[in-house]
Amino acid sequence: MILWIVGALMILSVGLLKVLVMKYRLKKMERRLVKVAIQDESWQESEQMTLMGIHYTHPSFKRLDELLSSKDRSFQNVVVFLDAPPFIHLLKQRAWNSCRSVRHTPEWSNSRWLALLNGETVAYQWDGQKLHHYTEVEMLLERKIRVFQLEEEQLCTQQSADNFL
Amino acid sequence: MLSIMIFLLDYVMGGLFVVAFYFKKNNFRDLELSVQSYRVLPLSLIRIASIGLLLFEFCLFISFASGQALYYKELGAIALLLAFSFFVVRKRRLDNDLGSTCSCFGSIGILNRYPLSRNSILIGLCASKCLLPAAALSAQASFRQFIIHSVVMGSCLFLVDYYQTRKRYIALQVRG
Repeated sequence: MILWIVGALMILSVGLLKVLVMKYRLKKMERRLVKVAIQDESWQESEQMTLMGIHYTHPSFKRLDELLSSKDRSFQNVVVFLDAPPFIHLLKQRAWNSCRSVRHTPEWSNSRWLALLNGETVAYQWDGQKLHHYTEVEMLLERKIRVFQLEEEQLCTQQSADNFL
Repeated sequence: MLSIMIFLLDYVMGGLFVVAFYFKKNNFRDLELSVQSYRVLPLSLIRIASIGLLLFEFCLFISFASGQALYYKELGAIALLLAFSFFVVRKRRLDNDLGSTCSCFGSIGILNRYPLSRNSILIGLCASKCLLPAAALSAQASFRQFIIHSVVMGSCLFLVDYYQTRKRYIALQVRG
């Protein structure tokens, strides 16, 4: 019985260790990539930003379009890389103008951001230190809108309380 | 014969729950987004609810893997699956959009696709297991079952995760 336990623990810990080491190396490389890409753009490394890659044939494109075209103020730090024919890109550049920047993927083929995105419709959020990966991009945008509304409400009630005092 | 069937059913259920747990844990932020998209909880409770869900699934895996907690684990599993189906139906009705998939299995897209039918099949499986006459396993047998189960599932999951991560690492290395 003890033999079984020891054997099982050994196998599982070897597997777990390999996975954790690989993940750590991947995270370190992603972080380095993001820092270099931020420096290339001459942005501040500590500011929050959301990187989004969108392909126009992806099934959630319609919903993403709706959300981004609502021009919500919470999208100020969103950088979008749109992979679509040029006329769609021109339309969307105007429609999504609350975003920080809407870029056309074929024009930026050397960009490190694109290397990070790897051609998928995903989102990355950088908060100055950590990079988070999101597959459900429309839910991320919905949450951004919701959180922003909540913060605004809290600010409003705080301000009216201050004015009252 | 009967004990083999019970073992296999336990194995399938436990395996599904641990796979769901593992891939949800890997994409924890996506899990938080999914939970908040159902709009049943205020934003402050989302993190606790997601962690609670993961713990519950892990407990279900442990109980199925060891074969203990007769009938309680089937009840727990059926309750969880019913809750999932209920939330999916509610979300579809709220959003008037019939195409929602749940991201329950993370990267394995095939199991994500028809959540309602998949959940009903699993509920049927659990219920039919309840109908089988089951005797409580001895401590040694259930311990052995647990070890076999966790080693097999653990090594499969670690292998899949390792190769997925390595593929992405190599892709980044080439392009970055």
